[in-house]
Amino acid sequence: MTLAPDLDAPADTAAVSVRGLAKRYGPVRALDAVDLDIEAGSYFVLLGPSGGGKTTLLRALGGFIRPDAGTVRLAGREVQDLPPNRRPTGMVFQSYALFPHMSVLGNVAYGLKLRRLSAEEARARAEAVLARVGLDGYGERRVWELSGGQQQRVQLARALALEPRILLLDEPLAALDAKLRKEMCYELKHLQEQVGITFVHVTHNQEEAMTVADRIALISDGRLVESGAPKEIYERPRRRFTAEFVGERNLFDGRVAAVEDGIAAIETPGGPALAPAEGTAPGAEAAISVRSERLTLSREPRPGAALRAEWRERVYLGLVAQHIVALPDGRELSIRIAPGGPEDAGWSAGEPCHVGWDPADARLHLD
Amino acid sequence: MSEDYVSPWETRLGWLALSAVVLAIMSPVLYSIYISFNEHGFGAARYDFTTAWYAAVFEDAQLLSALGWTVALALATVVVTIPFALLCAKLFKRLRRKLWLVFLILMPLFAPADIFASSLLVFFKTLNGTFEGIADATGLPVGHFFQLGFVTATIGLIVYTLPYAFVVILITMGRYNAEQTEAARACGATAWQAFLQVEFPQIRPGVLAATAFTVILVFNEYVRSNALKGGFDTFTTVLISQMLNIGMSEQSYAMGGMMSLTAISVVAAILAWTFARRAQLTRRAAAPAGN
Amino acid sequence: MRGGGAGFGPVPPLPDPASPALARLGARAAAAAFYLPPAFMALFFLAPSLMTVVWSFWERTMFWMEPAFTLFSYENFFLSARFGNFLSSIGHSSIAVVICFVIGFPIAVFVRRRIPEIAQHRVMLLFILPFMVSEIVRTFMLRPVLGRNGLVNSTLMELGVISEPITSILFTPTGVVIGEVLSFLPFMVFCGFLAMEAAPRHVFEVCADIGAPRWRVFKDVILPLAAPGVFAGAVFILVNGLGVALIPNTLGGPGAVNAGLIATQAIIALDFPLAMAVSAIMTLTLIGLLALGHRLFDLASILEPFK
Repeated sequence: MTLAPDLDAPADTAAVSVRGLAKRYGPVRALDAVDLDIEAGSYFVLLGPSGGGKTTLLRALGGFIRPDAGTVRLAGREVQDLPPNRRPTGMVFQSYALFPHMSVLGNVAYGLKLRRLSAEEARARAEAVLARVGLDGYGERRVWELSGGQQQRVQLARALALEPRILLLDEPLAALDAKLRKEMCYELKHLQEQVGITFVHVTHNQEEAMTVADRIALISDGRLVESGAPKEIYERPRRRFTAEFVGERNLFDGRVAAVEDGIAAIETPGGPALAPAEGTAPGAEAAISVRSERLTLSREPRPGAALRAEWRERVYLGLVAQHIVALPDGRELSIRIAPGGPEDAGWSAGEPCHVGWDPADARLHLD
Repeated sequence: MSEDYVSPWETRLGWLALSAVVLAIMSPVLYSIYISFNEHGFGAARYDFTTAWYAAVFEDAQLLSALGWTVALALATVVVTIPFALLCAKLFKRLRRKLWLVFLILMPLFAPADIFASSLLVFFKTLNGTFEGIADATGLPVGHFFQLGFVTATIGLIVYTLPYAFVVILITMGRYNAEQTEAARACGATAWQAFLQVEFPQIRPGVLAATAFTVILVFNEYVRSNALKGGFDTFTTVLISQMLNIGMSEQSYAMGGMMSLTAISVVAAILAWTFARRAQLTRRAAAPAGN
Repeated sequence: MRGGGAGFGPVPPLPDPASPALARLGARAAAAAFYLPPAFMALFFLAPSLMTVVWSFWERTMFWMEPAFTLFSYENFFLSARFGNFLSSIGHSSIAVVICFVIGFPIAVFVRRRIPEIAQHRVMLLFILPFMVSEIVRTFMLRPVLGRNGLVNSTLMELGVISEPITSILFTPTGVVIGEVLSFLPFMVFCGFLAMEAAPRHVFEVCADIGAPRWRVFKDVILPLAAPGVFAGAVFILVNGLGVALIPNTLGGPGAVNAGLIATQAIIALDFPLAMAVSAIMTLTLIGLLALGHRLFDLASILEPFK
């Protein structure tokens, strides 16, 4: 499926513009006619499951993969025939890819030396960039003396020293532990805001994506599923895949049984699931999704959607308490409640309950 | 290791068997080195240590000229084999369907010396005959192409040594993180620059090992060089013709000893290097890391 | 960089190639260069090896041969007096293969299983050592070791084990087999080791955890794992035992031949078609064995660790 290019970003501000990009490996379609636009100066995240094609897409942008078909425009120029060293892109790798036989300064200054800068100027620029990423004075260290986070920053410095228009990041935080990952997320975001160039960041981690992105594109099975700002993706996903992948949602598949006052209903064993119809007619095959934090748990039915269910268990997650309930056919739903509230306590297994939500909080998906 | 529960006697027995086998294989070599230092040669009742036989080797003019030819062959072979092996290793890593490459490059390993030498000999004679025909017919000065000589011997040696160099370099490249090449390209390097400035410094030990290996293989080689060389002599052909015609003279022992001692030194050097490298890597791993 | 660059000015662009057309040509030449080595091998190894089949049908002339289609050289080979000796050489090589397997394979297993990973490659270096010594030296130097007054006999007599020197270990088939085993044993160890290197160590640990009896571990786990390597090693030993003239020439008795010696002697006698016939038989046998091994055991998997 292709998505029309973003109409609110006129062509000349698109830093990256991809049309019909395709790549096959034997019988596998790694990329299947992808169209994409990325606005200049934004932080763009390619999010998706492993093996879905997001890294392939990134590498095609960088020139490390030759697509079978399609065009890639970077900063207005067609580049699909250009090798990586001739593209206006820099790249940051998952495995850090630092040069162990050079010092940190040598790594950062490598690209500058290739551009025939004098040794003093290259050194001065490299040291300035190192300071910018918070590694002031680390120039003479050797690569293996640094921690994972520091190596990541050296990589950033090495790429940024060359002032690329677009920085490509291939799962840059995958090898870091959770706490460090959070810190680096903020640092990357601030860095991008300061430097002002376009960042294209690949990850399979949603939280990472939500933290840093101005816009997120979901890539799966070689196709662009959906793209939008984090808030849109999270609160109002258009496609079923997005609803399943991002955030924790409960899904009800089926056929639209009725549409009343703009609200569609899908029958479930516990009662009708409701969501805004947005023009869909009865009889259409669809799915309804509701975020687990938008569900209410009660002993009596509440106005709005209300399904009969049987309480199963409670999992304490610190920030929230997750309650698992089961519909009459055994399908489980997940409800997230703030711990300590009246709905949170006093449940016993097998107790009948009602799960409800405001129909406006639900979404209807046609595909 | 879950092998903690293995009986230590079993391990000792294994090491014993292993050492016995290596010793058995090396025994002729070691014995002949022992003899080569004996003033009275093989089978004598007395043993007086001397290096006279080795000195005699260096005084033999024919032998020195043969040595020169062997050195020249080794250089010519290395100059082609090592770059070829590098290209093959990179091609191997890039290709998805690798079987044909593996077959072409590694099959010569299995081809026995005499069989391969005869087929290549006839091949060159046929080629040479064709070129002589062309020279007679057209007057072009190509009649001496592929005449048995230095070039044909070198070609045979390249075919012989390429599989070995390929495997050694492939093993070394296995430890290199190929994303570094991509990072270098992203920094603006051409493929050639990325190779020379980033990859090669890191695979250099393997390339040097492959070079040393190739040189030794050329020095040791007899059958193929003998068949394809044409008029000149190599170290091994002199040695063999001496052994076959005169018998095992003391000089033969000295020559054999030279070749063996060189080989042993090279392996010892590589072994020492692996110990040094392990120490270096341990030091690096223990180095303090920041936050 | 926007927002606080250190006032350096923009980064200069990469130097352009001297001439774009030349650069493109260079790039295409570079891409072609990767196929130069396989082309070289195809021309100077594959072609001559396969041409031996064609040449084997040619007719012998005084100093060379002429194109023809005759089975004369094959008749010459199969009906010659030496053919019987040649068949014996197949037997000797086969014995050598078995001995190399019995001695070499357990060593390979031992190195892979019981020696710490760091030391494994160093131990393999010990087996590379004989390789680095010339085969001719190793083979020739077996004479003073196995001969009447040689190391083995003088040691055994000194120890009082025997009173008369053993004469049956040199210039006999036994000598040939000993020579082949000592020459080719390292190869069997390598191939076995390489094949098992593809399998991670924890395979063996799992077996220990399950408590499988040792012979079952050997039969069901180790052998199949090492099969490609063992097969490759066996093919190498067999084909080289048949094809290296030096060993029977130096260590064999009168009349001892193998294919390699027949080929070499034929060339010296200027009977090129005969040499080609022998080479053709050996080459086709080798290709056949390798193809069989690949089909049965997936030989190329030995290179798995390097992919």
